[in-house]
Amino acid sequence: MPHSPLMPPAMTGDGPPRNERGTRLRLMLLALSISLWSLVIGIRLVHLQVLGQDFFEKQGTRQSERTIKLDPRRGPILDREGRALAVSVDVDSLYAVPQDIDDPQSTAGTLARALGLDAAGRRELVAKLQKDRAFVWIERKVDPGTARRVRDLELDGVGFLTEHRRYYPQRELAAHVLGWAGLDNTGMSGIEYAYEKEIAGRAAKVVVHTDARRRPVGHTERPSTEGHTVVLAIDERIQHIAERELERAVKETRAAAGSVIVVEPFSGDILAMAGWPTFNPNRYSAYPASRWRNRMVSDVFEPGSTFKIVTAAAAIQEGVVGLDEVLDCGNGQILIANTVINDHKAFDHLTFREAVVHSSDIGMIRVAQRLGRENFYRYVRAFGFGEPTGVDLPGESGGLLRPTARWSALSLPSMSFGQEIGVTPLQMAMAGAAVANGGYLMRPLLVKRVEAADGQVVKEVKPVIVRRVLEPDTVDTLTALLERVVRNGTGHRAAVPGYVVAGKTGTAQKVDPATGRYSMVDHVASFVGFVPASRPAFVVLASLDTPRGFPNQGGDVAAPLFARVARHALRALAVPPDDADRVLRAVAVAPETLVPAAYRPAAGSERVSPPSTEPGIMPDLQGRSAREAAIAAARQGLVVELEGSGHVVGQTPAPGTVVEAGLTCRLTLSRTGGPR
Amino acid sequence: MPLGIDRRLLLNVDWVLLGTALILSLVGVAMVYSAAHTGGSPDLHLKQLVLVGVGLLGLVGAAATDYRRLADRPVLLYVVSVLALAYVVRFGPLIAGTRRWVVIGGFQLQPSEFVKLAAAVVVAKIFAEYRQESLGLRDLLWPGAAVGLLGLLIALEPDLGTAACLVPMLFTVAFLAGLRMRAVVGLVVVMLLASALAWPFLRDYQKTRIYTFLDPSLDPKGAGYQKIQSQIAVGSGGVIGRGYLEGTQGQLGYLPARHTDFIFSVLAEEMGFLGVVAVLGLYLLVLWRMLETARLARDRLGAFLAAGITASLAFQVVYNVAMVAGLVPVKGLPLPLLSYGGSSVLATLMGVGLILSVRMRRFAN
Repeated sequence: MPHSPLMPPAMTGDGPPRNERGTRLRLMLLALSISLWSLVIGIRLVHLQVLGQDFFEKQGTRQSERTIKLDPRRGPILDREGRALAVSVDVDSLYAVPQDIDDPQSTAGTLARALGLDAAGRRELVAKLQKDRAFVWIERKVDPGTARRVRDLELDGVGFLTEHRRYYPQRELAAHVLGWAGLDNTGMSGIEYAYEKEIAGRAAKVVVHTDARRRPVGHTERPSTEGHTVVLAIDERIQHIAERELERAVKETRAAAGSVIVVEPFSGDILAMAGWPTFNPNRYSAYPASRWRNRMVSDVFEPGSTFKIVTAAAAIQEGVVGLDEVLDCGNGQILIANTVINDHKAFDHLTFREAVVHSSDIGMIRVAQRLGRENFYRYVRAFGFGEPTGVDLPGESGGLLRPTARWSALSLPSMSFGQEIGVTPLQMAMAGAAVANGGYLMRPLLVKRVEAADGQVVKEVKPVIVRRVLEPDTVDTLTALLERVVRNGTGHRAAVPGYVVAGKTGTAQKVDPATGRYSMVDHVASFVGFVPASRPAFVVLASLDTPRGFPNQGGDVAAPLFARVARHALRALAVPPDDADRVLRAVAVAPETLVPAAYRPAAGSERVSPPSTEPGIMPDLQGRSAREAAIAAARQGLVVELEGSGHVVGQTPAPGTVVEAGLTCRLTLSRTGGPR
Repeated sequence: MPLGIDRRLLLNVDWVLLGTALILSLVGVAMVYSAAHTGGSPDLHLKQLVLVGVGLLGLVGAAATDYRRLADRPVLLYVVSVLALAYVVRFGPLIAGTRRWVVIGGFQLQPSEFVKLAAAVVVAKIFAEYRQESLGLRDLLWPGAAVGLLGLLIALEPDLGTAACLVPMLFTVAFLAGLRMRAVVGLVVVMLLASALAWPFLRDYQKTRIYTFLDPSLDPKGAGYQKIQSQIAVGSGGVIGRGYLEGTQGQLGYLPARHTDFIFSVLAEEMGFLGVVAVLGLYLLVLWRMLETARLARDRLGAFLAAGITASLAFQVVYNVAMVAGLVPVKGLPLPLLSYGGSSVLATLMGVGLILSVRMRRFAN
């Protein structure tokens, strides 16, 4: 074969006479191939070590570390007075260290008997104990009896760790507000869910490092942190009253469902939120999921006549109608856009006042027509309808409110008496509160405070005024109207002896899902009201879905429910009655003993200039209106006794005195005093 | 004069090669400590240190020996090699399913490691005897048969990895000796064909190794385990490593054969990419100095001997690191100088000594 150009003619011989060039070239080729391989390896190493580091580190960690998580202690949920509504209790969780168990069969047998396991459970247990592991859970969160039985066995390689289980000591109480925490100790609904981050705390973590044979070679621990305490605005006593009376009303009327909401109107504090049907969060899984729903914030209903509060308020504030102006109620019929609307009673001519008191639908249609779509819509929005209230609960609905552009000719008339609009019970209650507190729409407050386990306040929620809705004059006029509704109108069964109640009934037709038309028999009966009318302690919304029996109108079933809740709640809150007889009786109990020990006659002009609103300190009420003064005094829990009328000219105890709830406060009023 | 050391020889000692090999050996001792101190025999690094010392003596001895005298008795060298291997295959103690060792006075020796050196001498001698500048395939017959017998015996132990080292050695020397380019191409084709034909004759475990190399997840607890664990170790080392003695893959025992075949994984996990690059750089330095010796050798025998030893070493380093990085199938092949193992360290250092010997004598006589 001819020599290749790379290989010049050979020189033969031993030793040095060699083809230096050819050898050098071939050596270079060898070096090159080694370099190429090095390059390939280098690229691969960059790929593995530089780009793949995270991936492989994770893989390594996964096989060499085993993390055991211990549930942290969930923070308690308390009512406004610190009464426990949800707590965490210590429970024992049973674990085993299989490597310390010499005879898995016999240990499993003994354990299975103590735990009451069947044959399959026992086999599973044997398998667990035979694992070549440092740690296995046998059973988590065992009941105390079982734990004691297992402890008494004194088995080697078996031990207990303390974990926590959620417990609701009041069972059904406020179940819809609280929600529940699931098996894995995380909040699944209600406040438990909404405040999961605060309540949960941080889990204790034990990281066990294991070698290739799964033997533990060391561990690191991170202790758990207890969750925060959530203090609700709910008053356990009032919640209890609301639930008791709701249950009774639902059973008496055979209603399908019902709700009661009690709101402190000045702060927006939700004192009670009760729904029926309810459930026991300790055993939530035993109830159908439909019962877990908080219908007070997530269910939308057509409010019916209670919504006339909005229509009337708008009409009064806009001045489109005088109180004594006569409205043509068309003998119970009105024709709008080829549709005949029937009133619930054939009224001929009514004054506006009478139309509200007797709840004439046609009277309201007349008023609404004078307001016009945009004006009316503006008030509906101003009262907070058509948007969520922003309460601290999951799954809140904003209701159903169409913009005016999508209204039909029937929309305005229908909405004026509360049909063709969907509201949540909470929205209705907050609208009522806006009338009760002098015209402010408040954001409903469910959580007042979040505290760390050491008592430090993490978050404090102050009352939030969403907007001013009504002027004081409007409120006074409307309140007087609503008082009449209860005194001698449709709401007369909402009356509470000794107190002046203001409120409005509602009987809303329900759409029959079968026909898509308003049902002739099914309706929602409701009542919204506040008491005492002149210095409201709270607003109550009571509604019953599809009450059976007769009579079953709002005034017949919801108004009495309101009355019962209000009567008991007034007593629980020690709200002094309006009725003069009752006031005198209350004072007559022991007028002298009510004088506090620290009482001294007012020392000259040492009055605190801005009226004190500190709790436990008598405010300066000089020159204030009877209504203002009564509200201020009532907030201190004082029994108010009024003498005369007009503005305050004299008061005992003197301003700045230390007072306690239940004491009597005498206010002397005079027409001549005038505002300061 | 086999032990004649004069001043001139000492002047030509390749201190760079010697020093680098020594540094690598000491890195090996450190890595063996890291890999084995938590295991059943925590003193392996001390044994390794002693072996490095013995290896240095062997190195000095080999360097002092004139490689031409060594190559004077190729037949004797060859026959002793064959007999030693045959003895091991027939009478060696069965350890982990293989017969690779002879036990002499309490020490385990692995003859195949030394046979590699003997083979390098014999092959260099055969090719140095050829008088023509250009070689055909026919000229490969005798040296191929001679090396083939040695390889076969080693493969029977079985120790395919070590047997495989003989192949690049043979071809490198043949290539340097002037094998025609056409023959080189032909050889490559024949080898590809042979490996295809050999497939049905492979043992099941050998096939499994190839399957799981292609897809380790087939058997993550078995044959794929080593590859997966090695990649996790190398990968989690990252750029700067987890730190000496801090690698969880090695320290917690997830890596198999971590002080022997997979020592490089331990290095990669604990020293990271930077450490790996440094050590690979040292190896390249060693290989470069060895090839340099082949270039500078005063005769064909010296050049071929240096090249043969270099090829065998290069193949081992490249294959082992590629294996650790998951590029090639797992095979029992130690990383020269780093892996624990007396015979490997001793033979490798003696090989370095032989190369020093070639370089020292480039101007001699």
